[in-house]
Amino acid sequence: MAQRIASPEDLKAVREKAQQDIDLRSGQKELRITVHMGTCGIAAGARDLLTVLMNELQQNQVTYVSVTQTGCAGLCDQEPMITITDKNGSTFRYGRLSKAKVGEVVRGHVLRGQPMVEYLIKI
Amino acid sequence: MRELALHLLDLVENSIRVGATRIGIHLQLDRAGDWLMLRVKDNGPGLSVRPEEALNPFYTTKSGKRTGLGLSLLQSAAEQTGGGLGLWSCDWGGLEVWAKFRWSHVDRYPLGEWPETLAGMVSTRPEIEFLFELQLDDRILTFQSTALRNPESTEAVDSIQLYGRVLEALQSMLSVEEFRLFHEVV
Repeated sequence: MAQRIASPEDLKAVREKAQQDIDLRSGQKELRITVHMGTCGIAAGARDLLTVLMNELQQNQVTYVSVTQTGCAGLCDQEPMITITDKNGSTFRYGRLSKAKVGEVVRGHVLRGQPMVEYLIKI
Repeated sequence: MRELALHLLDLVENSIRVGATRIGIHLQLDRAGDWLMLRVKDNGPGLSVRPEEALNPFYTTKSGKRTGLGLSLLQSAAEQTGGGLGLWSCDWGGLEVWAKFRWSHVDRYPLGEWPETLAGMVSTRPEIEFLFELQLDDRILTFQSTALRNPESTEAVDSIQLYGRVLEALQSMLSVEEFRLFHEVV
């Protein structure tokens, strides 16, 4: 839920938050996280995952990750899903995530460089 | 999808998937008429089929899929309140989707988390120009995402102020004291 803006400081905070959100997306980064936002993903909770993801990245001051959205990947039963792509082009697709699990993925895969094997989709 | 903000997200994703670079979102509440109207328009290629075909849940433009549920789910959500949904070509050259809901109807889905939805759209799609208009009766509040690209400009500061006001107004729409803050900020 957005904070009520009652002072110039609050406004400054909104502005900085907006700029941080933009920074998350700009330029070439070491990792790219894609949230799948097809109808199936949205219905399964992908919007909430995106919110948690961006909050986790900002709280941990992660600057080497870009976040983007895409549509359905054709694995509707695995939604909500995210895909992490590293700078070598390797992709890690996580499925059936929850808000708690996506936090674990950020802390494990993004911060420590250890993919969360138990949440990866096995194809 | 039991939240109107999620339907908005779905419409926006449809527009982006077909190549739109400019998306207009208009949310209007007409209290005297007891209607809530959501309109999303884009500068994409528009419809290649008749509108009734696009609303068929077994029609999709996505390769490898046999269903396209998004529009038909929104249509159902609108019709269960006595409203409806329509598609037409818009003045930007692309498609406009409108969905109308009876505001006081017990089966109208809640507006949902609009601030998070808008923030997510704007921040993960910086290449897309979003124009957002929130209208309460005859008062309109407008926010354009492109102003965020140059955050130091006067125009951007003004726009970010508006962004904050839009979030604040939306927050008030979600609260028990609906629209009280909206009256204060507009």
